[in-house]
Amino acid sequence: MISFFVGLLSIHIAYMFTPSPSVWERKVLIGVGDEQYFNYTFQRNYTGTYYHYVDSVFFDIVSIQNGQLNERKLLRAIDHNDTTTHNDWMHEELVTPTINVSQFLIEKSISPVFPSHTSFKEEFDFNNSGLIIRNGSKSQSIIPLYVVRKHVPWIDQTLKLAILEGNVDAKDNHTQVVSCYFENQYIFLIVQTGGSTIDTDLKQAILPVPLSQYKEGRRSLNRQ
Amino acid sequence: MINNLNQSAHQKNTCCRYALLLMMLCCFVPALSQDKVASTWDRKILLAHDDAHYYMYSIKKSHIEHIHNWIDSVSYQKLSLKDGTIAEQVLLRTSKRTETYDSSSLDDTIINRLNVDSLLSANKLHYIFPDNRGLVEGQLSFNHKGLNLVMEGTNGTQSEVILPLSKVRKHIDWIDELVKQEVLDGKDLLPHLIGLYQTRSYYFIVIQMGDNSGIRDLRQGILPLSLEDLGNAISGLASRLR
Repeated sequence: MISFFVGLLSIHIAYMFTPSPSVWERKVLIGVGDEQYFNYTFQRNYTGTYYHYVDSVFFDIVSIQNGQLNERKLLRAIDHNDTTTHNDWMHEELVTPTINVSQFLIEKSISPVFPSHTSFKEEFDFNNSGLIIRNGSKSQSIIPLYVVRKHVPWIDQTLKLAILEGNVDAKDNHTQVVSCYFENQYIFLIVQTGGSTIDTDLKQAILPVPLSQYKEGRRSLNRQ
Repeated sequence: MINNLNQSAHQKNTCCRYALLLMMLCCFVPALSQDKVASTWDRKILLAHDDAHYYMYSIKKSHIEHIHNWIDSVSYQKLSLKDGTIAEQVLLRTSKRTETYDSSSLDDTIINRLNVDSLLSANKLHYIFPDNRGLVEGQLSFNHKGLNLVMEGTNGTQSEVILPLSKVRKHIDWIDELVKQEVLDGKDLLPHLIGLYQTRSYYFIVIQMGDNSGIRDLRQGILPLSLEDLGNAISGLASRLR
């Protein structure tokens, strides 16, 4: 309980000091094709002051196979500036969207995706061998780390942090699966780390897991 | 003359019968042509908010008879922060997929070419980011009283109502079902939380019930919570934990 109030207090205290620059990134999966998936990326860049930050919104087309960004369209860029440092915010829109996402998805016959049950995400975790699934104390690796790295480029950073904190039993509290989508013979995991304060990065990434690999992993786990 | 009267009565009778038959057909034919919805999935994507409204996509899939036949719709919505009333709704797209033994078809239709990103940009509405500062999952619960803030104190677990159920219901009309389920499961926490978003004046709590496996309903709901309401709950709880 004390930590909660300390947490809230720290938000207010934090505002009194100059923060470090940080980036917050939110990923929203909107559709899946045969070889690519489509998502929004909302990005907020804190520039190291409480009086200026920049928001960007992108529409991304990404390879399911290797996580490569095949195409990125900048939809919005907004410059937020507190001109007097007394809450006199100016918000300047810097670009005009060059694509109508809704129309684009119809033209490509991409149907919207829907999430699975909230409890499903609890099955997944990360350790030095990559993405694992858990059943009580038992675990089974389903995606090797070098593949995870292609889709979640910051995974090593969070794993290192877990080891530094003595969290060596492979449980990594720094990266969590926040939602899952079953689509097109894949499970798409939305993975998140950070974001606890204004000067800490918040990162999200999308990790496609072949359904066959998940099923195989589950069978191996049951055999253990 | 009597014959004429009889004939006229007979004609009227026949007319009545036809009218009745027509009425029955009018009621029956649309009922036949109407698709039987087996389950509905509803996904909400929170986009932005201003002082009075919040903005989102509402994406629905209605399964017709079985899982391979469905109707999709994508809408843009503007809702009141105060009571969840829809102030504006634009249906952007509908799709109908029909599958038979030997064929399948997808009928995609653009209903409205509104570019939502351009609209938000023109109105200087800013996107919302996930945030876990301050509130965390285990500190929120729904029960018959409404949305509660829950804390562990030296004198056990204490809770304080942040928003009464009547107010929650305005934004999430299926909340009673969730509360009932929670009671049945013997839980009092919030296992259905899928997103927490914070801006300078509001928290947005996004919850989900059900899933997309099999023929089951999937529902999502967005509950705006002013920092003022949260502050009041914190003060109330702090005074009891002191």
